[in-house]
Amino acid sequence: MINFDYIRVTSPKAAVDALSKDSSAQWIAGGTNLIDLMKKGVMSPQKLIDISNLSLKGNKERRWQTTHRCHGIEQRGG
Amino acid sequence: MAKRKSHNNQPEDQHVNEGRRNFLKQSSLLTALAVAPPYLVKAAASQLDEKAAAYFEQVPLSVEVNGINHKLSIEPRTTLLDLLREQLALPGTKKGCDHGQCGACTVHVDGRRVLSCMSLAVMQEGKKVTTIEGLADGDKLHPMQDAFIKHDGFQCGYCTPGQIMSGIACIREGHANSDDEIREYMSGNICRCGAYPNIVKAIADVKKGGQKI
Repeated sequence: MINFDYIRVTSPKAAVDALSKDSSAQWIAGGTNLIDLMKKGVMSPQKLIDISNLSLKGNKERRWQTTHRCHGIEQRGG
Repeated sequence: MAKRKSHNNQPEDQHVNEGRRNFLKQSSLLTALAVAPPYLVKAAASQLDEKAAAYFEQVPLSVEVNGINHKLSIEPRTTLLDLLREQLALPGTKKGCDHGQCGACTVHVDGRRVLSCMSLAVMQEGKKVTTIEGLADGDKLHPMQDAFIKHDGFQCGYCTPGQIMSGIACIREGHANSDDEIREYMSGNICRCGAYPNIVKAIADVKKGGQKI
């Protein structure tokens, strides 16, 4: 896997800003797809913007993670 | 006389020769560089860049593994699996396919089962990771480990750490109420020896036992 810059954002706005500033950046949430593609060299983002810690809907806490059942994105009950 | 003269001159000759050799070396290098295809020069330069970058591109990481806090410095591309196996010397977590297909690398992050080969270590900042090494309490095995031994839930054992971590999470999630349900919720863990019937028995037994796991 090629190396990349890594940043963590704490708000949706920061996530959007960071992505729009850099055309070679990618968001990463669970990572099941992206990391797989990066290992194979299909994707090679220069920067990963970690949005896994953003709570996505109101005060309901939802989180993203690589799990067995979902292969990609799963939400944690709020 | 002539002999002596040449003897005296030797150091000077050597010096001259060395100078010439260095000059030839340098100039041939320069020529090689000049005639080398640009992509080669670029590749050599980028290799150097990469080495330098690898040194500078380490990022700090603070993570709790099996109850021990680690403050580390890692490359962002390091997967959790590689961090555990290669930097923290915890080889109990296995690398099967390294592509999220087999489940051998299953660990718990904040109590949930995740595939460590598909998780970046740097994304586990501040989280609690539990591996197969963190289950036993001293010499006392975890009930799931006991059950795997009792029911012979393995042959070669390569998938077993993943099966056990997954089995524990399966019960904690409340997905172990019937053999069918266990099979469904353990479907992310592949066993090439085909020990599935015994794995299901082991998990069902722990569930029935009702111990706190």
